Amino acid sequence: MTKQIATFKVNGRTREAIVEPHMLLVDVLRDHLGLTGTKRACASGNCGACTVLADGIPICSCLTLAVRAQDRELTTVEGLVDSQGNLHPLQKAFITHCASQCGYCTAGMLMSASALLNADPRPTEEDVKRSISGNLCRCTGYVKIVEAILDAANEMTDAKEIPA
Amino acid sequence: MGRVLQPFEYFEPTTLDEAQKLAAGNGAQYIAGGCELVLGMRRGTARPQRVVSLSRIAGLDGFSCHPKIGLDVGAQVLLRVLANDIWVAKRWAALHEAIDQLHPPHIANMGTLVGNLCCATPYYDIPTALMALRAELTLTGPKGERQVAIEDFYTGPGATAVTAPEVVTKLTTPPPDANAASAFRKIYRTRRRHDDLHKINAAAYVTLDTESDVVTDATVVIGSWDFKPVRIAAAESAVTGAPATTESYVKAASIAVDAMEPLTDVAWIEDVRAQHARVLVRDVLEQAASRARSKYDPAEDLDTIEG
Repeated sequence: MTKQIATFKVNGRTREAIVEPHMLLVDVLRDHLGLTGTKRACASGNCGACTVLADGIPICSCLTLAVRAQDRELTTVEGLVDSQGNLHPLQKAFITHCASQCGYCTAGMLMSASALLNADPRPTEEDVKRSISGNLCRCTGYVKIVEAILDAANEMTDAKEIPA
Repeated sequence: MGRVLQPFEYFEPTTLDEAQKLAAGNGAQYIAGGCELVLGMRRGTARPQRVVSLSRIAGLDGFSCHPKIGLDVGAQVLLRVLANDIWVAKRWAALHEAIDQLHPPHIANMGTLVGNLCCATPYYDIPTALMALRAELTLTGPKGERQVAIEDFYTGPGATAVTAPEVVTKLTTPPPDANAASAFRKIYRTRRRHDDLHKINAAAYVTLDTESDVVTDATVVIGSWDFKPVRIAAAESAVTGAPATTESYVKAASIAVDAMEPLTDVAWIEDVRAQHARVLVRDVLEQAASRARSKYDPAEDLDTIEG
């Protein structure tokens, strides 16, 4: 198996790309599919900047061979916005809390946090810290990020609740 | 670190026979979760010519866990499946603790239990926990299946008992005794210099006679100081038959530390290693015994255990 046309399900759309077996998912997403929101930093599974969701579960796209991701439902940071182009509550909260500085870790943080909020709409601060424990931020510090995620969680659950 | 992987051939066979035929030549590697192999290929430490995926082979995804029957984990089973299983958390607590403390947590979503064992990295936690739990691996080759105890699985630095083109198809552990429990702990520090001691881990499995409060059976394992986790037979025999008290565990811990051979000729590193091992062995024995005694449920307060 050498060069082949691979089909990816990314952010609800079916995309095709010519890939070789040695290509990593992060490179295919960025260079072939143009989804440059996903970042490539340590490329060894330590920093979490390359986090994407595969079937709703956060994985490191830098340690995943692209050919092995074909039958999975992928979500990148570009997939967080809704069909009208409105930002996800997490992204809005990150802006209002100034939770990104250089922004390199932000895409990974958002993906890890969205996986948490999908699984647990009312996380505690400990849950949030645990969910982003695989994502390193080297400039902002984690306080604002944790606050932003908690804030977004509140906003999302408030929006769902029916007023009495 | 290389930016791009070296090209290789990639195959996704659907049967075990086919996989073994494809992997028979030189330079072939199996891939299950891929965390370790892809990282090795990026670093240039692994240069396979041919990568054979196990992901489409039927029958390798079996997972069953029952306190009366035992643990049975197929080669494709992700670590997160074990991390989320209540019986693993209750009765195979050492394994649960080792998986729970994995860093980064993404690895549990990508990697497999069997793959973690097969990469034979000396400082990994899960082999230590599984050795305390007396696990056994099933290796399937062209001539049939064979069972290898995890103690005999590691044959040298980075080497395992797997002879190509064999596949480790599953891992099994016996059911724990009714009055038995296990515990795992590690001390982990960032490595600042190349010769720093950065990690040491320990696991124990203890069976108690609950009426007389005497230890009737014990396994003590220390990892991250040899090429594989090591069972300390001297400490096991010292604690077996002894009353289940802290004094017995402290004594067993000092016997365990004496049994460890020095890894370096740097005195302070050996000193720190001995102190860490002493604390860890004492703690895992005490924790395992207290769980065995109290039918304590470790799943309830796992988040308070320090990593």
